[in-house]
Amino acid sequence: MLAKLEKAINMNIRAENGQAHSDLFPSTHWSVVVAAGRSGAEPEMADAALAELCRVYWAPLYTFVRSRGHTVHDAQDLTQSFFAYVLEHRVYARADRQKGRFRSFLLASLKNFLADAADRERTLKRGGAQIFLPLHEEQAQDAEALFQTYNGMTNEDRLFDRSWAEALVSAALERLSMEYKRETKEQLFNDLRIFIAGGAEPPPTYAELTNRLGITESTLRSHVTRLRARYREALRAEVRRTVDTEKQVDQELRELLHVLTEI
Amino acid sequence: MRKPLASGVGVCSVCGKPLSAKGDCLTCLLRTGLEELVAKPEPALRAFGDFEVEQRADGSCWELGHGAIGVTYLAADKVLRRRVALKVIEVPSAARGSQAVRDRFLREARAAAALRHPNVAAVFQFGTSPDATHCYYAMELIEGETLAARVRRDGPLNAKEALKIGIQIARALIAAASHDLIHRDLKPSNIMLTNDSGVKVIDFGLAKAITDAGGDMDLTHGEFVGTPTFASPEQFGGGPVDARSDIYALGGTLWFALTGLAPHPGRTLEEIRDRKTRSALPVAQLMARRVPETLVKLLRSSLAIDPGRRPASAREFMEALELCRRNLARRIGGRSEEAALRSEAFARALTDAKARASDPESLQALFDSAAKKAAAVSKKPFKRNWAYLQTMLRLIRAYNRDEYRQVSNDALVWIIAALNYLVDPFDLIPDNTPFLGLVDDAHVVELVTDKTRRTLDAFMTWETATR
Repeated sequence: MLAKLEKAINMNIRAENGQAHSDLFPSTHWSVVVAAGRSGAEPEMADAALAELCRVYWAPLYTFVRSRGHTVHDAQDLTQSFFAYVLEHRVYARADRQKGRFRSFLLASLKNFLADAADRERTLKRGGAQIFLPLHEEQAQDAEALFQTYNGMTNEDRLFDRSWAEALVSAALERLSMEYKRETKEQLFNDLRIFIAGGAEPPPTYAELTNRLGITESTLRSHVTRLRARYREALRAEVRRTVDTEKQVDQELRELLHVLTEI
Repeated sequence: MRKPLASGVGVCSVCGKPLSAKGDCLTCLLRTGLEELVAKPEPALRAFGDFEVEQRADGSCWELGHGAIGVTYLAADKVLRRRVALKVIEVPSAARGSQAVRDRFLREARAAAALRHPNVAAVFQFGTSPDATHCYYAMELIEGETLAARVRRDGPLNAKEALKIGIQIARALIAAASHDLIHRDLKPSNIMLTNDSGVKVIDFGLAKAITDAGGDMDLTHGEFVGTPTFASPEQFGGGPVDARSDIYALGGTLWFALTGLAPHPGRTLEEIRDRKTRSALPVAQLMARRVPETLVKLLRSSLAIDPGRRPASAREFMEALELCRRNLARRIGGRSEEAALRSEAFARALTDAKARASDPESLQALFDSAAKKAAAVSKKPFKRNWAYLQTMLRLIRAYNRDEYRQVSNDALVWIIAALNYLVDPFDLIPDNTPFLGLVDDAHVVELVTDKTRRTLDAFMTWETATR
């Protein structure tokens, strides 16, 4: 089973990297995972899809565990163990689709997991998670940086939501960046990224950009408009993976926006 | 309850919210995902009091802009049958049931609506939706762009333009002072430059009203109300502020207009606050832009940390700006007089051009005549002129072939006038004339952006002598 699962995960990762296909609209959806888990059909693919989603949202879970006072290594082990636990016990098969959201499901499951001292001790004794999700050093460092940045600013649930928002937009930006790269427009994406992602410095003037890129202002405007539209779709598609309905996409974005404006 | 300031988090230059650890603005990024939603609210939310949000051809709401605090729509006043700008702010769920919050918003908005001045965008009406989910206010609809957008598009302004704008903003502040109103969020994106060269300050006094409507939801975050980059040091403390805070913000706004930069940028709220209170002003930025010494001195005093060292009132500040303008005019007096005379000649050319605009034969004759004039001059110094002229001709021919429909009639008139006058050595054609930038022609871009048209002065001398 593990070999099949690893293969499925790798397939997903390749797809994410644009090697197998390139698409602004990811195919892995939480609702599909839940449905597959319930029906029992193709459980390995459901596991792989869930593992892929978990990979994207590893950092929010890690920051939550860290906010509970665990050390860096313990938090890494616990986060890995949590994923192993979710997959191993097919916890998602018990998820209530009507309540919908992947974010709520993961947070509630993590809280239960952490509250279960026996599970935690057992997994730590095992030396932490050894399977399912390869943990990259860079990923772990980014997650720790995220925790250090926001720790102490707000409560642990809000910290989780904020980290979630960051993981969400990162995934959308990464996907969009891949698309532009595939179209050999990586430089254009990097030059115009500030118009969607903001930043500490004000965006360059159109005059500066038209000179630098050697295009007219009307062409530049058109590029920026298209980039915004494509990013919007990529972001909504990313949210769509974690909720059940289009209405929930709106709710999810509004909720996360609300969390950010509270900090 | 207010939350402590974020530590080590950057601040977005667009919306003022904290940046992510990677330097991205999550708020801007998430808001982009909602843009479509914002543009298409539920039908029930299209009407606010006497106002109805207008729709585009595709049925979406006609959004004029959105900021950290709400969305502005083009709307119709159903009673007075006029168009207005309608700002709609969603009230956070926690504050919706509060009568006190509603009363505070209405009180502040009422004070803002009482202010009437040519340099202030008038607030016509305000209110809250029946279900208390939104508050709104209808403002005078202004055709134009913000100062921030102008600088972003065209780069920094010269001292004369900045002073003209600054004086009008100061007049708005004087009017506000007579109503005991403080803006609290004066910044380049709250300054509208109208199509007829006027200036209107928007959102006057509404920062406080909106904050009240939002309960704990401040315009930005933490204890802060306003936009950190342009706010006065005392605003960071959350304590009482007075009109001198607006003078500080106006100083920062003018600094931005002159340099394209904020005087004290920073990646975090704390960094901005520290720079405002500890770092010296980067006056070299003004020097590099050749800002007159008197204006530099005035900006330094307006940006003083201690409010007591700033101009005591908006009137005092405006008088100082007026003095700067007079000094500047004296300095360039001779040149201005000459330019005025030539402007007159150019105005005649413009009138003539308007008559020729719809007559291709007349256009062709005009070009032929201009071409002969140019050919009569020694070639080398006028090489650029020649290329410019040829580009103009290509534009006009293309326009006549319907290939450049995006070139407006106004732009065409400018082109023809330039041809009639042969060239525009005195920068009489505004840089924001629509045809500029529409053409992929390196000569035009170079000539316009580098102001190399000044090299054609010699040609003007020749033309005047042979007239």
